[in-house]
Amino acid sequence: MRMMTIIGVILALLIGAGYWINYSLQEATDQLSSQVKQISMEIKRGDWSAARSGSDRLQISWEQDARWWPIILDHQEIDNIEFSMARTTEYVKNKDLALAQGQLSELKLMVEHIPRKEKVNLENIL
Amino acid sequence: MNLVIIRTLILYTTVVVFLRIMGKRQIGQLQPYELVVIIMISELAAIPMQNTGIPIINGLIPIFILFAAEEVLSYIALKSERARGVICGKPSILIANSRINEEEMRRLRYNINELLEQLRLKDVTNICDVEYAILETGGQLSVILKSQKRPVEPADLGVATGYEGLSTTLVIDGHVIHENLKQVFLNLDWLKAELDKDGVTRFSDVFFASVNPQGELFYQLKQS
Repeated sequence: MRMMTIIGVILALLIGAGYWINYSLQEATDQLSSQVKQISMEIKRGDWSAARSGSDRLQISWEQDARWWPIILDHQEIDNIEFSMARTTEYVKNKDLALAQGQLSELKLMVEHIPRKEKVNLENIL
Repeated sequence: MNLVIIRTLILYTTVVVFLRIMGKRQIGQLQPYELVVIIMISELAAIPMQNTGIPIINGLIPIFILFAAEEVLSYIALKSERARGVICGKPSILIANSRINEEEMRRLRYNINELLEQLRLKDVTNICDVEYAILETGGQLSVILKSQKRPVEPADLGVATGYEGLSTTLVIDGHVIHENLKQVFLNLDWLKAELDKDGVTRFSDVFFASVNPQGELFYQLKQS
């Protein structure tokens, strides 16, 4: 019976941690995604200096929010986001409109894909 | 490289701990649901061990969940007779009064050659000698011979036998096991005196020593 209690407590903690992780992922990716959208808007307006500082802010937010992600997510996926972010920064620095917009769009999709992949729903279960 | 070493050690320790908690049953005695857990755990541990791109937690959590599921099923099987029948299955009588139960053999997809092989492994060559052969839930075949074919036991002959009991290990590789000495109501002085009789003065020279319920000491000295 003691073993059952221990298993029950650990299971409850794991399920709780799972929900907390999903909530935190959603929160962090929403913020990153809105930052990416903001940079894209600034580029559209032709405000490259604002886009550049936005890109720096995005880098800082990423480093703060995604520090713990490798513990639970596939490392390859995180590496892909980091590569995409580095490319975006360079395109913004060089004021390349087409490549910067394309890269930002890809980055947004990759960031938004993370909580979607971790969500508990029938599609992901099956 | 070092990462792989650390991850391997963590996963290995986890698997050993969980298998240790799960019990002492040998592979051949595992119930189907236990065998499934063993196979899956080994696979789950191996993947994050070799692929450092996969978070180690993706291996550890499923291992724990499988362990938990196995423990819950064992607990249910322990508490409920009906659940036990569903989870572990029921023993099947393959031979009753020397007659092979064809229908049961067909249902279990157990062929006659397998049955004969299992009987031979139990030193039975003639089905006529078998009163019952029961296929247990763990997959072993229990064979009960007819009374006239069973080996003679002292009780059959009416011979009185003495208590045999178990021998208790007292020294392993030069180390005296004080707990066992206390358990058989003996002490270090007795052990020393017994070894002294044969000129053995140091416990560290003894490779193995045990005492039987009659109080007789058996020992073997180290070779070098």
